[in-house]
Amino acid sequence: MRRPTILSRPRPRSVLAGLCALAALALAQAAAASEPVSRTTGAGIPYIHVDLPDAPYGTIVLAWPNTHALRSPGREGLISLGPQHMGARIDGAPARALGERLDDARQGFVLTNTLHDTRLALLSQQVGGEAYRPAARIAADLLVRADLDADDLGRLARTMLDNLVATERNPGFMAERALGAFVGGGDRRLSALTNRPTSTVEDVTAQDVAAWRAAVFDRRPVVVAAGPQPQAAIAGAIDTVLEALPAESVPSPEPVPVAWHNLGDTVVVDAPEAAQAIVIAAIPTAAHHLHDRLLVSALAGGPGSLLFEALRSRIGAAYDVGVRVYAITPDQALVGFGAAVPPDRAAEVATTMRETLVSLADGLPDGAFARTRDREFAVLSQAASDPNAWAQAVLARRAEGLDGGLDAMIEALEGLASDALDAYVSATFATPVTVAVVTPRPEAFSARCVVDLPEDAAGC
Amino acid sequence: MSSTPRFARRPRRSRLALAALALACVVSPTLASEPRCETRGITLCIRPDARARVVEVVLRVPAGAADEPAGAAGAAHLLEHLLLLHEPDLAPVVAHGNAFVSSDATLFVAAAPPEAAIDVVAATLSVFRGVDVPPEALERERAAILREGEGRRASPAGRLGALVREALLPGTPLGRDPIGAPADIEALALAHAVAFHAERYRADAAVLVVAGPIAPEAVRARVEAEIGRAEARPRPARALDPEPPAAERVALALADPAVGAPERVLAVLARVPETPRAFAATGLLLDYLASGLPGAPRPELERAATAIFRDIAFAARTLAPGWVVLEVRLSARPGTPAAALDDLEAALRARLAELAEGGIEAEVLARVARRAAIRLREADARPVGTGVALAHWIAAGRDLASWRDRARIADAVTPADTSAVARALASPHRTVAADLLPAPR
Repeated sequence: MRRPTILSRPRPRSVLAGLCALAALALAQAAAASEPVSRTTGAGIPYIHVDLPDAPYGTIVLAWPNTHALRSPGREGLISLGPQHMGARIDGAPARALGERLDDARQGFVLTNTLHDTRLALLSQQVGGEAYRPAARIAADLLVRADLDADDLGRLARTMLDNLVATERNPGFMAERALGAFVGGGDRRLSALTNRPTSTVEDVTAQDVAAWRAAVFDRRPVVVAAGPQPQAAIAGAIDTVLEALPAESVPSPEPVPVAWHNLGDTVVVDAPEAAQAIVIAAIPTAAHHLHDRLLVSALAGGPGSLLFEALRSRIGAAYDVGVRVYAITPDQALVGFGAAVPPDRAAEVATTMRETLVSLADGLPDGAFARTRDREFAVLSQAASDPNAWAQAVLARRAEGLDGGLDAMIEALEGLASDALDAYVSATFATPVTVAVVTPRPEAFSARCVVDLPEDAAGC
Repeated sequence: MSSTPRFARRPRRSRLALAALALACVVSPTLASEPRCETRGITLCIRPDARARVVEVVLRVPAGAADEPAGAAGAAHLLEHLLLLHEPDLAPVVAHGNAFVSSDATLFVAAAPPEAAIDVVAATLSVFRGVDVPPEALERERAAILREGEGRRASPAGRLGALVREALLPGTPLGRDPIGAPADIEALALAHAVAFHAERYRADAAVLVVAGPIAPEAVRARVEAEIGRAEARPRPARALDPEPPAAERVALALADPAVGAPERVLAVLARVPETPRAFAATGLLLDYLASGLPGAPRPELERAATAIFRDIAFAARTLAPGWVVLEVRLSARPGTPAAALDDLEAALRARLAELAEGGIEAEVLARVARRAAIRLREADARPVGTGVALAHWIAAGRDLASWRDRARIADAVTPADTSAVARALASPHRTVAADLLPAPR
């Protein structure tokens, strides 16, 4: 007979433990109720603040929506090189030394750029009065006093070009490049996602970077701060970063919609050396942040998701299904689902992927909506104490004209009806699925577009 | 876009009361964040953290590829797939986590919301019950593992990695690829997985770490219900046995049309004293080597070898107590001859020799140590996310006192300590230099 366990006899310690567990649970739920608050810095800069007192770090993200990096046709490498070049050397000090100094202070910043957005993210693990201070000072210098030395640009461009050459025949990258060229039909934004042609990197000059910097940065970014730092430290950091910038910069052209090419067709890249074939099935979407998230999860969200079950469990042709979302404009994304498969099964996989995706024109199958919603609800709930997840959520919602952040996303998810998602999925998959394949056996496909170089797909 | 201001809610009394109670929890000896390990038919380590939003559950079973008997290579990996994806009791683990097989262990790892955590603990422990899967499960997972292996071997870098492992640890169980060779996977039967489970899935040799907002007594009760109070048996020793033959240098080369620029993987197997201080010194030396701090290899190579240098990366792992593998990946620029790799290696070795002589310079070491100590103290204050490291630590036979002391030990590491580790790495038991080279299509 089993002896009574310690839990069978209530004791003060276990009662306290139970209460503590309840308190922890309740507080965790309370923390989830954090909500974005509009505030203004001492210098009058508006920002959105999400107070996360228990988070281990904080972030301040400043976003400048713009398309300035596309202003010089043939020099789109500016998208990647611009931020790198700005960060290479400031007032004669190399970026590496500055970065190590910030590491010592448990702070840092990252400058990034996309086809329609430039973002500066400050990070701080320090919580007290010094939080963000050195990072903000150096970031402020970066925005106005980066040296933009031509030798530094040459070195950075050379490194980027070296890495492009080193991965030139990687089948995964080849498939991405072929897909971009095929559906973009030469649209330089899709080529720029993979820095092709390489002349778009080689031709960027220090003057291009200087002009881009002058055009982008002003005192009107969208600013979101999330984390445990005091408001004074956050507001001070924002003012420091923006202090020396002009009140208003040059407006950039609104993003122009992509005119998709070859939708529903297949491009095959002949890669005799490839040990595995890569198959990507892609679909353009309206870039709705929550719906795309659910769509990706429904199709490629691990065991139980539609493509995982079709390719791995049913036909045993793939270990996993990867996914990548290419944001082209605020209203257009290209979502690609990819799998590495045995070359002799690539055609079967392409057919299976196409059939699975085409079937969604009638909406999600039974059970998929609930599974997907539950999965994303868990993911978002667990992210509710992460400052970066909050900042990204606030920015994603603002880009769609919506208030709130993760709290609002969770609310929207709870209130989402299957009909609403079905309508989005049906509309999305009414567009025919496009397939890009890299394989050593192109003869297995009857595609009209078979190329040796991925970029040649633009001519199909 | 709406710009309606939103205002923070005032803290309500109920929330203040909860905060006061939470404070009581933190100061209570029952729910302090200090890890506590105890034997309850399994080594159970609980690390309460009321501030975390998820509960981390890590189960480390000392059953890896190195433990597979002759004729059953790949059984550990197959078993992990069968349990995770075909045992209905493990569904909560699949919903919140994953599993991984290495040479010496199988890890089941999950991060669950507090309300699901106890169920995830129970689900994780159900791996000890046995293997009862539907007949189609074997073929399904055989195909998945074959695809997984193909994916790993499809890239030249993946193929080179397998060659390096084999050359570094020839003839030793720890040199076996945990994924399994295709022929071995094809030959596996369900009986192999069942037998491996019966022999190796012993709760009394496993470590379970639970960290986060969860009541320790509830965890203990559930563990007891699942495992019982089995008497602990002696843990099997983990040794590098048989020891691989010493070799100053084994050279390999793989040429492939998919390679765009020369690379060299330099792998060294070295003996390092099995003490907390040597362990800390090894970590600090690796942090330094991978950094951009003065004198570290990357900035030195960028400055001195501009014409040939593209990249450098470091990785290290403890293979068995006292044995460390350091891997350095040296990448040359496209178009440079293979001999450039010799030049890059020579520059790296020269710097390692300097470090072996005098260790990391005191001022730089102080910076590296301070960063590590802060990182470790923060990890202790927020234990969720450190469960795998703690499970490995305990499984290696190290004690909790030295775990708690890691930050202080890191602070106390001297240049001489790093010099000793650098000497061990500069004169290893065995070295493999494997080159990845471009080949014409």
